[in-house]
Amino acid sequence: MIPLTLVTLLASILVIVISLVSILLLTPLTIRILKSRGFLVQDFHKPSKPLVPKPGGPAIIISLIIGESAVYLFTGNIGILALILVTAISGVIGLLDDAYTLSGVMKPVSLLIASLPILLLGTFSSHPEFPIFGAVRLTLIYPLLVLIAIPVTANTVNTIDVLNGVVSGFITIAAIPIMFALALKGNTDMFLAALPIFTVSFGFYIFHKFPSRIFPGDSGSLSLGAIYGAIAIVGGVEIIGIIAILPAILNSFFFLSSVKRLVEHRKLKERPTIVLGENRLAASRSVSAPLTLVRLILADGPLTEKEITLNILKLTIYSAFLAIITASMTWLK
Amino acid sequence: MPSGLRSLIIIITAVWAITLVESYIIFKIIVPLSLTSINFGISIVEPVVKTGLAGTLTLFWIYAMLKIRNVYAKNKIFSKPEGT
Repeated sequence: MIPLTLVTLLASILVIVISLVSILLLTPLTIRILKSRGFLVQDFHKPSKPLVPKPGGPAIIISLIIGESAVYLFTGNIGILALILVTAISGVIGLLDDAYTLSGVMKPVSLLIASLPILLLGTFSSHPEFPIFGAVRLTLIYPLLVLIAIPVTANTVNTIDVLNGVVSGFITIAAIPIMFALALKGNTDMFLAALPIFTVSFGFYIFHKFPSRIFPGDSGSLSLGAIYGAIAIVGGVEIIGIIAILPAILNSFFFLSSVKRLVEHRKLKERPTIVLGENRLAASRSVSAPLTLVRLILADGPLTEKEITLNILKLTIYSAFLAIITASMTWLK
Repeated sequence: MPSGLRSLIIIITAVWAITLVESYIIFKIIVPLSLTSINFGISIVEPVVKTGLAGTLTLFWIYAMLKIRNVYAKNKIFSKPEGT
């Protein structure tokens, strides 16, 4: 357990304030800039198809970097530097994706670059800890897993960015078990580093929740996913990180296994859902449409966008609860 | 709670439990397994057999997920008319 000292408490408060102020100032500024330059997209899940500014990624990326830089100044931990670099690289790739729409294969391949800071700075332990039986030695295979972990988490989080407020609310909730595990583990530096992820995604959620005033875009969701994966690795809480994002993993897995290839979602021929009147969505009953989490949630019948978002966030809370149990089984002595 | 959400909670719990049990089997039973009696003096046999066993278990994980998904989709999605 991390020592609850005055220094830790003050540092935590300062990191939260810095990250929150950054995102709360930068998001409205980004909305204004995007509106004035005409960077607007239709919100397809609403009958009136309103225009919404996109991408909000720059506000997320800059706020994450500011928050992590503050933690780096406090701690001088090289692992935080790796997190900053992972965020910056994945953010740039996300911005390219927002501008030019990278292919379903190009996106994960280019995100391999975002894993390099963790490998080159050597900020990982090849002994991941499991509940009940403890740490295991994966000296040879672990660096390979690190290399693919960032593209996997970034894309997994990217695929859950489906409706108003989902991805920002999802990361806000999923960051809680990570912070809990790092606190139990007694890793103060990484606990502080997890705070900006929670705070920035929560701050962005205020603008992203139904009805969205801004969309994060690929730059926002990829950078959130990449830093989430990076903190799980650098902090040595990989298993907790995986369990907390199980709804997104299932979404990705079910999607990939039904379309049977890496494909950009905008290029799908058949949509998994259909938009009905009165802001309601229904599951497509077509056998060839991709199976996604939203489609599974809609299996019982049509729901409003707000209800679907709430259901996804309820599932995330449940996964976070399982992750907290797993963390307790691993580190609570 | 809607039955769709309840089903997904059961699926997530099953995935969590299978993942923990499988990782236990892989790292606590397969990895420490001594195969010296069947490796015919060839050092590569042991890691290959262990990787094969761990891989089979991982394939079982994927198969289990797909099976759950297919049963869910067949009963709850494909059996109903469009727009419902």
